[in-house]
Amino acid sequence: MAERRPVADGLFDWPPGNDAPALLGSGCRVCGETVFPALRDCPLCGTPDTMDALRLRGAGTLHDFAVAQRGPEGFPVPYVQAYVRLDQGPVIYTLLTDVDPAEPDVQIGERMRMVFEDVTTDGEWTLVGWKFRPERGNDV
Amino acid sequence: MSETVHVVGVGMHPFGRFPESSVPELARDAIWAALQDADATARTPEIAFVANCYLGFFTGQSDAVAPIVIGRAGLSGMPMVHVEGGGAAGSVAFHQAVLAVKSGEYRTALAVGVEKLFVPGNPSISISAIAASGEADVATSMGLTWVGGFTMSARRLMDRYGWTQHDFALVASKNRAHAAANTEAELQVEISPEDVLAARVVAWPLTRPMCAGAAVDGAAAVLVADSETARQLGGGRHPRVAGMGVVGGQYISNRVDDSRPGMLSMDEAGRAFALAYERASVGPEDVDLAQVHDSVAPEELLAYQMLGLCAPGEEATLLRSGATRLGGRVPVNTDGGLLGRGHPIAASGVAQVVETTRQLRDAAGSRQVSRPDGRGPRVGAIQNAGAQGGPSGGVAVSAAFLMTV
Repeated sequence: MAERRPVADGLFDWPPGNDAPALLGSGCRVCGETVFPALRDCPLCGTPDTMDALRLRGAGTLHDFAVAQRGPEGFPVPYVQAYVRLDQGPVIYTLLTDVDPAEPDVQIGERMRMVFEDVTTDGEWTLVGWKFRPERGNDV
Repeated sequence: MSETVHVVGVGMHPFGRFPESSVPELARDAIWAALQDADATARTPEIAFVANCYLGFFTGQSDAVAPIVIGRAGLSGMPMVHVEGGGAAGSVAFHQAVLAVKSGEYRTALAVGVEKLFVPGNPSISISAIAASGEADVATSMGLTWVGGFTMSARRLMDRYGWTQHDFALVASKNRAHAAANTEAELQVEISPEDVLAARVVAWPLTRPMCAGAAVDGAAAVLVADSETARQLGGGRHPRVAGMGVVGGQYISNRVDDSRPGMLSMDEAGRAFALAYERASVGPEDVDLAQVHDSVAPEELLAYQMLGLCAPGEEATLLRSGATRLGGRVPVNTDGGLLGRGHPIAASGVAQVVETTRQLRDAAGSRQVSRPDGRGPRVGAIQNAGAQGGPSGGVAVSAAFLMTV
């Protein structure tokens, strides 16, 4: 089995630590805006060098989703694409897991929770990224 | 100093699948068609802008694209500038060409859009290539596709405006009917709304004919000139670029609960048209025809609203009335649009100018638009959008042009 690495550097802790899964975003000291991926300069109030690192915990609500029946190389279809609004602000692109693409049993606004899983391979590496799954009764 | 800018020459390499032709070979046909249309020579263009997005992806030639494309057409000596912008790249090239002449710095400028995406036997690689126009680390490397992004927005807008899947089929069928009258179009076979609905689902509610295909090649070119130079060139009518607005995606706070990020959050198009209408001193009621960015059918409906052709929520009513078909009050995508003429990404924005120019010259043949009084059209609108990511998380570049005669 190929070695695993993140889809890109600097987006989440790698290798994963003991903390709960989190994305590496940032928050503005001046206006309070939160963003992902992390920036140094705030895109809302325009103040330079004013954003502090902020761990974005993997809890949010489903914003939009679509089932892809055609995809790029390395993405067997069908698969479920989505936007999730994190409780801490940013709306981020993600893949859904534990959802059947043939009959996606999810609703806009539904509570979602993040996990890190294998996303695709580039021949040499297995690429790991964030996915969300419905937070059903058995979750904390 | 601000010169009036005219489109004096237009040319195309047909859109379709041309595995035997290279990017420079496709571009060469369009460039020379445009120069000859203007009775111009290789020495006429004083600056050239070349839109191309994926030559680097397929061949590794990610720089020096403009000098290679221009030089292999036998032109030389002028500044040659490569521009990007996904599906709007051709509009960025045209915008820069117009600005170059408008500034008074150059008398003429050439805008070229060229793309090559078809690889025999490998449809996935075309989808991988166009993903390069999106944000790699946080989106496309995790499988975000253009159609997926549009679909997520379209479902939201169906709820908001009462659009139906059948409306999307009507858009696709209309544009394919227009393309059937265009010998340079990728898809010249008509398709009924019923057959559009029965086609394979790409991402519900979009079926295959409601989405522009990724595997297509083509090129388009236009030559623009100031008024004095335009009088010395070509025999035909030279439409003016009366107004334009090109804007970038704008960051909106995630504490605002709107539909962002979404490919169809076209606030940018509204801002672009507000600028274009103001500068052209015309209004939406003056528009005789429009070319819009219909990479998926729902985009055309939203463009009706952004152009001011109807009030928000009236898009489907306008479509169903037949007003936007050839023969209707304000035909949209008269050459077939992205769904019919085809969408070789960087070439599309320039092709929109080619079609608008032909219509305003009264030289569009069997798809010629006429006003109720039987005369040729006076005002043509163009809307285009492209690239994903950057400040808005959605569309990165949005362009509006108004051309008049």
